[in-house]
Amino acid sequence: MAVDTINNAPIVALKSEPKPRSLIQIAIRRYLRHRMAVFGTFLLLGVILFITLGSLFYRESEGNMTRLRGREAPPGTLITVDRRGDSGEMKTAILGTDISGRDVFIRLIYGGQISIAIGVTSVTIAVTLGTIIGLVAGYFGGWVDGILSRITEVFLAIPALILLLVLSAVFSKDTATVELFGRTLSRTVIYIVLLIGFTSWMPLSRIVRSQVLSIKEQEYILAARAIGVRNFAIIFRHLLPNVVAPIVVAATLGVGTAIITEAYLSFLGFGVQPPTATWGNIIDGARGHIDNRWWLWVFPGSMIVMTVLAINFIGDGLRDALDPRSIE
Amino acid sequence: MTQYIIRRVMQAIPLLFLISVFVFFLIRQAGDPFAGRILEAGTSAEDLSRQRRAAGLTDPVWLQFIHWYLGDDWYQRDLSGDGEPDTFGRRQGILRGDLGVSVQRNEPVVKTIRRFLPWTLLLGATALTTTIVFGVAIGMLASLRPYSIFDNIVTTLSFVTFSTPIFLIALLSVFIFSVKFREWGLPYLPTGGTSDWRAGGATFGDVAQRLILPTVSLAAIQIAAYSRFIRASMLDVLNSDYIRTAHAKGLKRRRVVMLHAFKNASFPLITLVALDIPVFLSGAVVTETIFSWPGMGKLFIDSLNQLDPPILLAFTLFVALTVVTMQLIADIVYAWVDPRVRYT
Repeated sequence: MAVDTINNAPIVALKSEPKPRSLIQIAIRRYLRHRMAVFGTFLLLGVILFITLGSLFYRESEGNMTRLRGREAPPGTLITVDRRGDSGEMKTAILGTDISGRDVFIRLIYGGQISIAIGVTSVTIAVTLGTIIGLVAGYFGGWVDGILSRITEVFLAIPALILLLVLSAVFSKDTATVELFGRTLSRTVIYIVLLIGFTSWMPLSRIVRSQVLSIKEQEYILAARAIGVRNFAIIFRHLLPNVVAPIVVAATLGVGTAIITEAYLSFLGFGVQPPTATWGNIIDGARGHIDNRWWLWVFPGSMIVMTVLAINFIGDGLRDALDPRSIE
Repeated sequence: MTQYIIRRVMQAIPLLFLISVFVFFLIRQAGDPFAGRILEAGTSAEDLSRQRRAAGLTDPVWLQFIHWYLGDDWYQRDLSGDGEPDTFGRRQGILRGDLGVSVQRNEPVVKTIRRFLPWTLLLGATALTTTIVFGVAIGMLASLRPYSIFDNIVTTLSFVTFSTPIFLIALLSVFIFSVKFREWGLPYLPTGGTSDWRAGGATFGDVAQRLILPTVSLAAIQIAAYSRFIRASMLDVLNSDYIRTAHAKGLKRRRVVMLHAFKNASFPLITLVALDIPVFLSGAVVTETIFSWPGMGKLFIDSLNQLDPPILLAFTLFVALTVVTMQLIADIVYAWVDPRVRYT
């Protein structure tokens, strides 16, 4: 970067030596120059704004309430405010209702919260597991690596979606609810988070392991070991900071993948169960009726694509910004 | 080379065994296939317990595993309920090619699979061919004029496609090409199954027409991935010295691109194709379910809904076997075409 400044304005640069930028400052500058990443950031902020502001205006119980009349109402139809329509009050279903007469607009708001929350928490589990397994396998090598690598290979041999479908076949039959952060949710939410988390750590553990294999041969690790630093400290103080960049990128992209995975499971009926909404299980209601219930897949579908697209752009920008080899 | 191949195959065998153990316990936890039977009319509790004993579900877990592997035709069970073993089992075990008998369909799993597998192979092969043809063509075109309007459109489109679940692509393509085209009076594509059930047998045209939309859904995301891959790989090669030399000595651009550049840029494609087989398989699960395509993916979802462990076991094992074999082939082919790979 200093070269750029010198080339463009040599005299000024010579007069006042620019302050050297920290690594984080360089990364932020690079990120902001990545147009797609900036676009993705704003897109994601928009989605987050929609699902947070929306929940200030509507209660979740409104979205979970079924109606006796006004089922499968197209967008813009007048529907009753309460279940039986006793009060006589009506309101407009902005994005229509589903097969049980639930308001799709409100479900989109609360479903989005669940979908994104599932994405973030399951990735947290996957990243923790993948990082620890990768670090341990790479650092200790030998039989430890042997065992951990075999486990990774076994998990990788069965495509994640198929593994998840088998595992969730049992759990998705659970109709119980659970109280979480003051909300009543279907217990399947917790199962799905755990299942996705425990079945998507493998790619990251491979990345971390291969990074550690090359880093641990460097002199500063040898030096640390020579002065008697414990393995635990070497791993977490010397190795981990040096593999953070690929972990951050993989974690970001992983949130998008997890959101899509949840959508697959819920769409096939093995995911989060009603009344709790997710973008995926709203779309499930459109199966077999894509023409006369188009609002049940067009709107949640667009939300999924927008969110995942934004996350992918951000991940792409982070990859460029955090890559120490990319010099501009 | 031969030694390398032998060693890789030998390494795959214990891995496959580990996978089979994992798969066995994975399917076991899916539940008791006879749990729903008690509700059926004419089934007494005694019948049920007899059926469960005959299926070997009352045996200890380790014994069930051995029976799954080696069969139980050497093992006597007590079916009459008098406390003395009296009847030999009939299974031969997976090592002898017997995948058991489907609980819900009442036929050998091998027979079921033989009926469903060809449709998946047909869909998979069509989708794979489509992916390679379009992925390579789009990627090459984009790489010849990087950052042109065409390249930028392709980049944006592939980003959007990456971010779209297969089922949305399927729903969208059905909505446009089947529902809307019909509304607009255009020639539209039929969906669902492999042929019109009213017409009796499936003709070639029937199947071909109904193959188009599932293929599009299955291939779209992969085309995006492959075109990105080919573009990057081509850009790498096009900037190398030997391409500059080829241009300098006056070769036609077409010849340089097609012969010199593409040949080298397409090597990694071999590994990509082999490693992508699992992606096609899990994609098939979703696509076949949406389009009622009678392949392995639909069989899997149906068996999951009805809880049919022998079929689930066979399917999962089949998938894992395919994945491991393809990884093996990818490694070997790569070592074979690229002499720089060390045989270690």
